[in-house]
Amino acid sequence: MEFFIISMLNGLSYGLLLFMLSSGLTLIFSMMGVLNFAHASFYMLGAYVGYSVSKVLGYWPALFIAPLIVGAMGALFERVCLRKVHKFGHVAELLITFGLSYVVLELVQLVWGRLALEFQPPAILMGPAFTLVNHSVNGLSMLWGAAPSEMCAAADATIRLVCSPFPATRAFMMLVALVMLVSV
Amino acid sequence: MKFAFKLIAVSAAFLCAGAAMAQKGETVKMLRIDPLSGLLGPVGLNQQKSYQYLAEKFSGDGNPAGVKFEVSFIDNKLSPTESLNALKTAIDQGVRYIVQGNGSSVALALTDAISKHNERNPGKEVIFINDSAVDPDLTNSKCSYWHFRFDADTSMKMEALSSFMEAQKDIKKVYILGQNYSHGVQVAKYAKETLARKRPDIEIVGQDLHPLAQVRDFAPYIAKIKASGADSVITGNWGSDLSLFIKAANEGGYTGKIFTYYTAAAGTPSALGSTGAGRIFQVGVGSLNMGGQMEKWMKEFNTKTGGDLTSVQFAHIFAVLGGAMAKAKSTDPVKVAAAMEGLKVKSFNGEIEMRKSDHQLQQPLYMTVWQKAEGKNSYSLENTGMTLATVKEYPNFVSSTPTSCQMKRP
Repeated sequence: MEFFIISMLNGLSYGLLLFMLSSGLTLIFSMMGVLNFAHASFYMLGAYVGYSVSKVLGYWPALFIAPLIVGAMGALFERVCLRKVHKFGHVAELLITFGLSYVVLELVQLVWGRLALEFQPPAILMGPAFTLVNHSVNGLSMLWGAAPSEMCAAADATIRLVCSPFPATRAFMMLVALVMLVSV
Repeated sequence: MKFAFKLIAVSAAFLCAGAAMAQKGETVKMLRIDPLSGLLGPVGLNQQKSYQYLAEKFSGDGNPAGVKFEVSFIDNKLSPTESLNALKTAIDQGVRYIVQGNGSSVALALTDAISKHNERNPGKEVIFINDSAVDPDLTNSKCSYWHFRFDADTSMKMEALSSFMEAQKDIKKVYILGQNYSHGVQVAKYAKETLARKRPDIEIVGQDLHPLAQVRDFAPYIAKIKASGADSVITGNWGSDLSLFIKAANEGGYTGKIFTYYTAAAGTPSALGSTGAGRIFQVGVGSLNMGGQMEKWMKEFNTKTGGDLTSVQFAHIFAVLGGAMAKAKSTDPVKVAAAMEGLKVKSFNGEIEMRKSDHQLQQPLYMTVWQKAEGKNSYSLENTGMTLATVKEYPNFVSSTPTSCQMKRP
């Protein structure tokens, strides 16, 4: 049972992540009629800007400032470039965003390097959000936060005892995606 | 008449001495084709520094031939196609010693390409030095005269690993996780084979192969492993595939043992942090606290670069190359290849031998465990305060495995 719940939550969190990615794409397409090839590039830019801002100001301010910075970049691009090519039709818009995606990729590699960066979430999100304890006699129970270790150690070899923690970072990501879903 | 003979003999002796001297101070250009960017980049960059450091140590008086080693690097992004292009560039630049290691898929492509090149371009032969691709096929069914492997292959590592597991009676259920390419497939195959032979009571409760260097989220695999009830996992994963797996294992509350090949490789110790003491094992060609010359080098390397010199087999490469060049009295790849066959040299951990039949280096293997750095195991890996301590050492004759190689010699 705990396998089913954890797997379902894993799948759900992955689905919500994809929703976050794709919601912006459909928004831009339906409201502005632009098929934005640079959408994922802005997404990546957001991650890197968030990383850099959180280094300076900490995680929580970065959570709000980074989207604003990247949003401003997007607005600037729309004003300076997209608006100018709008009169030439869809193909021109498509091409310019396609070109932008290459430029952003190279710029990110120039600024942040070509290696994966190490990122530590804030202390409050480090541990598990909740822990499912499956006891073969007492049944399934749920605990907020980490379960004490004596609860996860079976006193008797005949009892099957499994503790399945669910990481807080994942739970928080799901929460953010849900907030976005509701606001859309 | 007598005088003329003497003159010829003396001048011949001088000529020989001259030829032997000619290589003193000669530069041996080597080129390593390996990933230096992306998810597996940190491993390649660490090894790049290791090569530069060791090349300096072994140059000049550091090797019996007195040559200077010079290693340059090309980023292949882990792609066999890019590697073949890099090989062409290297050959055009006049490099005769090609080095590669990360990715057996790349190694298989390079062996093939180099064998063909050498056949078609006599006088421009190239030697392939394989420093860490461990697919046993490279020294068995697909062996080549021009390929020399300095890491221990999967059959050897699994032999040692299964001998260690044989003695651990609390292991009952094993899960095998691997990367979906030649290396991961071979690890799974040899793990099953050796365990069935040595511990038939161990049950293999599951096996998963995932795409190489593409999985960001190992949580579903951890959920599967936990549901299978496995008390141990065997994995040949390396780089990000190992560090992300271990991270997910910690987050997912997996508390069993993990038997690995590459815990010491860059990135993974940081992912482990102070967790997993006594549960993470590594089988490899080196340990962190082996004393002697290697420990001195490791400490110096750490203060110089901030990194860890964990790919210790690179030192074997320079030891064998130096020995072979002194024996051949030349740096010509054809002569050096012939001299390397069956060559025995003294390296930092005893005598090693480049086996003639399949060009697989015979060397000691070490079983190590992740634990707190203290006492005689004081080397702290990536400043985590943790180390890999030797629990068992396997001398050459134990880890040696038979070969089916039918080598075509020129």
